[in-house]
Amino acid sequence: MNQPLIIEMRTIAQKLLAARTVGTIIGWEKGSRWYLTPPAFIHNEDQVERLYFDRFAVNNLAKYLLDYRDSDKKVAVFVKGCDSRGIIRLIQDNQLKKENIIVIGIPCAGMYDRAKAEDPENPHDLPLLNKCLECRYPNPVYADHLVGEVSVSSEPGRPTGIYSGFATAQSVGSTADRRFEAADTLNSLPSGQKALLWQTHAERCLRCYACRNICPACNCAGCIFDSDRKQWTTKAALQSANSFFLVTRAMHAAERCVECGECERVCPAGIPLMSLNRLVTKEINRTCGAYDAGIELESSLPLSHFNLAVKAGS
Amino acid sequence: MESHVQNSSGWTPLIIGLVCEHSPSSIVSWHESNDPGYPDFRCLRVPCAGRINPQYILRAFQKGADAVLVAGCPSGKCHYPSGNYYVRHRLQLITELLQFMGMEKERIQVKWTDSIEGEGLRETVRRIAREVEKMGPNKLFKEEL
Ligand code: SF4
Ligand code: SF4
Ligand code: SF4
Repeated sequence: MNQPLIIEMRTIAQKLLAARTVGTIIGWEKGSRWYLTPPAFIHNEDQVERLYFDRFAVNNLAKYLLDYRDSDKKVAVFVKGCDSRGIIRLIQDNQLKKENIIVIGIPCAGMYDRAKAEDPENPHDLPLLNKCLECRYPNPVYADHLVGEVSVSSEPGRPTGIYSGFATAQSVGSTADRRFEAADTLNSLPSGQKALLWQTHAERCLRCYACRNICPACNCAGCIFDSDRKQWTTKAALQSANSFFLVTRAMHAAERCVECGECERVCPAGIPLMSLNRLVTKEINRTCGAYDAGIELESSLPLSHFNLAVKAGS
Repeated sequence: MESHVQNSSGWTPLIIGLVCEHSPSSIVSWHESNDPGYPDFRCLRVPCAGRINPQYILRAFQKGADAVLVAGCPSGKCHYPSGNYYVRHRLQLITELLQFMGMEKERIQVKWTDSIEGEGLRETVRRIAREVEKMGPNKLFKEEL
């Protein structure tokens, strides 16, 4: 079912490379297993046939753009709805100039979650990732080009483009209104239980920083965890230092997290990082008013802008 | 959790204050030599509540605090004049996040106050000490090394 879309992707990639408009195209290619569609970096016209897209192209490619920050050629990148929000965040944080990138929006029918499947070897009938069931922006919020008849939209809504009917039938976005529930349930436990739970998670954290490295919100050039000399915490992966890391990562991603779910997906220890992000997002919505990160280039950040007319509670 | 009472076990709660130096509440950091029962309260004065990085709270717990008291000026009374606006949502956020990870809410207290208003800050410190004594020492985020 993806064939016409993939042909369109390859055509636009070929055109951009042939016209020397861009030096690199970042997309996806088919991997070594039927359930793998990892990132692909295309530099030559004769490589565009590698480009591929299916329901396993889950990687958010936004962060890779930072590797080309100092390149003298433009870079083109394919984006799903969630990925496009990451691009807005990077531009808002002055990590990217929009003149230096070309964003190609792609229609999304949701990504599959093999881990949740009853029979992970059966390619038919796989469930969707939670983030896709909870997805509020299935369409690119920002794009220079579009493929697959998708439309740009900065409003929460239904998927558009060639898969729209299919995506809706597959329940993309069906639980968007309930996306804070899991964090709320966790939060309603007694303190002692919560402490034990997070201590157990922290003990398993490897401090591999995969969650940080994939995240479009975590984009500091000098991260406080890269050096002991910043003196915030030790580099040793001890439980207390890992707890410190988990809190700090969530705080630093506050008002920036685009809820793309990538941190939790890449965590080799299976730590429920999204519950931290959801708690933070919900709290910002509660205290600062309704806010979704990475939707509009011009929007101001809720924690950094304040209204002097609103009195603080004691 | 085993209970620690000040006099029987010898443990007394350590309370760290992060207090704006323009706030009248900064007087709580004065030690009263004639008040031996006053809790072990150590105060970091900052030039403005807006200078308080939420991470400072975490840092205090890493180094062994049993409770943290943040105090700054009420809305409209900041010297700079909006540092308290800048920081207040961040403080709410870290408080919520630490509670989500199992910290008891009594251990992080934020006060926007002139000491002349309502409960005086000295009394707040005493109250926190009483509350924390019942809960025992804090172990969350405390450094192993
Ligand atoms: S979160 Fe939305 S846009 Fe992103 S992969 Fe899932 S359905 Fe597609
Ligand atoms: S914190 Fe996680 S969900 Fe949020 S933007 Fe970063 S990777 Fe995506
Ligand atoms: S990806 Fe998981 S294990 Fe690695 S640093 Fe992040 S939370 Fe820890």
